[in-house]
Amino acid sequence: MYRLLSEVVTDDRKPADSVVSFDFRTLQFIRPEGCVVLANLVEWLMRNGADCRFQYPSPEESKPVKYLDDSQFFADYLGESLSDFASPRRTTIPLQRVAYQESHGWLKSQLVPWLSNRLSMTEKSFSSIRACLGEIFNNIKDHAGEGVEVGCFFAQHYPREDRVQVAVSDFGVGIPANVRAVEESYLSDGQAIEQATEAGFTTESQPGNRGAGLNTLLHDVIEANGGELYIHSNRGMLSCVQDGSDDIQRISDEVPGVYPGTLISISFRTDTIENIPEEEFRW
Amino acid sequence: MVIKVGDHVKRCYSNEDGREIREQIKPLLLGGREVTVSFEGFGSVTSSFVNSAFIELLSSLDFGEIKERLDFADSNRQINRTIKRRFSFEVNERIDA
Repeated sequence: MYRLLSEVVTDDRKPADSVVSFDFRTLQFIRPEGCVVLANLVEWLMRNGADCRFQYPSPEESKPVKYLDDSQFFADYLGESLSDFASPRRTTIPLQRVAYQESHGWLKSQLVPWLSNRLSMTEKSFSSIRACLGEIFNNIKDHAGEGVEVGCFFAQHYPREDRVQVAVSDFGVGIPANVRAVEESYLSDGQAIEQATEAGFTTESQPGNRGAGLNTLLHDVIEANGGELYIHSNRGMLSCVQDGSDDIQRISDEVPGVYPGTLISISFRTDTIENIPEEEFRW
Repeated sequence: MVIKVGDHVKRCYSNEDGREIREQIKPLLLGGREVTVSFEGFGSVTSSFVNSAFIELLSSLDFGEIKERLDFADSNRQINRTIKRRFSFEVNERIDA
């Protein structure tokens, strides 16, 4: 991903050229995050005045291209699928651009029924996952910047691995930029992302913003589900997993490229999902 | 007095949803009434909702008063955990500059 980004996005977050040609002829493999990154990148390039072109083999000759075709990528950016037989795979929710105003309804009417059907569990079982994704969409609304309240979304169920992979991306200003607006500028991008996941850290971008969204997401994904969370933004990335003692391990790093916006990738475990029981509240 | 969230909002998702609930419960709490907020029909809440519905009350009431007068019903582990984690941080850990 970062090699692609370094060829397409300059260090000062501009398209590397006015015409960018994506060559899929040597593509060996692609995953949900890759689909979201590609779609987000194409959207960002077009938004910044670049012309995007595509070279590709036939879907019959290339499994990754067929995967992209089935995921609606070519329908979205060429106006039609490459193959007459392209159709979303049952194990995926293909590329969707979800605006914040629609996100709650979309989660309720699209994502949760799909999960319920895939995993043969009641829709109530996915309340926590629905809340996790609500945190992401609220974060996009609060932080991505003016006019950027759309998340690009893709999900895939891996039944043999007992997991669902979800990738959501926006092409806003990115977490590091927001953090550095209120925090010391010595933080690297990776450190800034880590800072943003600290309980109570807030960029105060909105009156109701108390800096809990990413921290809540972290706890719900890792502690409650036992899943994994990865955040990529600008030149940084943050990996969050459960360590051997059930605590959350966060590792920040710098990457060789610029991701224009924020990509959140979550691996939810499906073997830990249960119908959340009613529970009496006690202070 | 029981305030059913579902009587006022369709979802527990955004800051705006939370503000709607806060506008219902704040005058009652300030008046010394005991309020139970019922989440009947809702399976989850976001931190944005909790911040605007309940955490913002800390600007008008101290935590002891909130604990005395505010209760929650028809909730689940996710809802309870989110509410308690938010209050715990704001009361025990937030340091204002």
